[in-house]
Amino acid sequence: MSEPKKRNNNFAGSKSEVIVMAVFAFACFFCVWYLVSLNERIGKFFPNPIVVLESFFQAFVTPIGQNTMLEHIFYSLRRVTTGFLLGAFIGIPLGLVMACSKTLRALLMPLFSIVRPIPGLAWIPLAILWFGLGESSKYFLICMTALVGITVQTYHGALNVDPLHIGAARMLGANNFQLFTNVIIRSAIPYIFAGLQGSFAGAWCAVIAAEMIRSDEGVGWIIFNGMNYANTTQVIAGMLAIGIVGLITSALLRALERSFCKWNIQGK
Amino acid sequence: MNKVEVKNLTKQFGELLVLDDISFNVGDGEFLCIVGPTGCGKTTFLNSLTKIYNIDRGSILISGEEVNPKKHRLAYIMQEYSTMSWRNVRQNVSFGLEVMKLPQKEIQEKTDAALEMVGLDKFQKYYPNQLSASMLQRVAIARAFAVQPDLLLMDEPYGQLDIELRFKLEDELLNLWRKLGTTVIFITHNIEEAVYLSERILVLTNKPTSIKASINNELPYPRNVTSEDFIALRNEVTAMIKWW
Repeated sequence: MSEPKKRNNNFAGSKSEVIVMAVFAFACFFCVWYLVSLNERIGKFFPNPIVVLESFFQAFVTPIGQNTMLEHIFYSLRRVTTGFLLGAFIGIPLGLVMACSKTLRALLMPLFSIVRPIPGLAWIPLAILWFGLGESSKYFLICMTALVGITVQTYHGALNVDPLHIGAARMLGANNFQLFTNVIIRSAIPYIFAGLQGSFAGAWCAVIAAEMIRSDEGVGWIIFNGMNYANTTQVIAGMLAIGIVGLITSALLRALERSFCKWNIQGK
Repeated sequence: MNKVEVKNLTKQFGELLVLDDISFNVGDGEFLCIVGPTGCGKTTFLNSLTKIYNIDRGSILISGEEVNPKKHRLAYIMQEYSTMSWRNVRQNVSFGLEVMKLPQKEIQEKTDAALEMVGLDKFQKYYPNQLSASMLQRVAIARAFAVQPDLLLMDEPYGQLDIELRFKLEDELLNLWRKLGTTVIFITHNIEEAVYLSERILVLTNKPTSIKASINNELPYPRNVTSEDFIALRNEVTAMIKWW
């Protein structure tokens, strides 16, 4: 009896080796940063990492503007999550519908093809004109940014279902609903997650842009405020916050993907 | 009574005529093997029968009616691996039973039996990307057998399996056929396999495909591959195939 295949794509061997390599990469990065910032001319507008880290952690205790760093992160995260989920709730069904129905594809694809190349940030003027400077315009902007990527990936995932799977399911008597739920959606899940991952990064870009335009709180506001006062330490601390939150949310999405797509992870 | 009636079946891909006015019947409970040269359109024929392809002319009837997978209990084991990558071995095998909405206990029993038959009972939690080629094909075979089909269509299903397992599964197929009275249409390149399994062998010509001969195989079961009659029939079919 033949044994199942075993694959090992782990280039660095064990998990601890990967962690050591990551720590080493961070240490190198901070060393280079520190050495560069020692230069007198560069150091004037490029603070060293110790100052930035101090400022970053200090912001969790001492407010920047009216809020602490944690509160700023919370405001940005709330905007990103709301707009992103809105984009996902519209984008996933839209992608599935366009892939599965020739009539709806013929109807919606021309419209979507026009909307698709428009960058998310190009919606800013319309968002302000339609929804004002409040939260709604930010949600709209993030939603439009996330929507496109999620729809495109879902559409391709559902459209590229292996015809053999469809043939096999039909042969075994699956009706259209069973085919849709058991084959098309399941087969499209990795594509949907790829769309969610990519769009989440896009949603962060949109929230920063939205907060720079008009806001009293949020990570984007920290950066914009820092720029107004020529405070590069605050700008970099804000960027660091985005990086860390982005890393955590991305890891959470990957964990969600792993639990939904065990079959895609197993054996890799 | 005929289980399958094929009348004037014609299929073209653009200018290329693949199936040229083919007509034949398959009796209820008959075991038919189809042999023919590579690329002659054997798979196209099965795909037409199962409505994966639309036919250009002619008709295919199952029990006197248009093919309807929801009504006629069909199972099709393809040449390519059709296992669903998001379902583990057990879930793949039980798919057809779930679609039929059978009681959970029955699904469990039939799945267990099918898994045991193909020797995958120890690998039921594995996903397709963890399995070897022969194991994937065995999953597809178990899935087809689990639904105990009225019409079993097999397109070179054992081509990738080792000889020991192939012999075992050939015998299992004969057992299932006898037990359930399933009608079987089996496509193969292997003449010995065709003579070992079938009651009738349909020999196809090269493209555009037509029927060259229909040979009745009246050797008694279980067949002995070393018997004189077996070898004589195998040589007869081989000789026919040699000259296409």
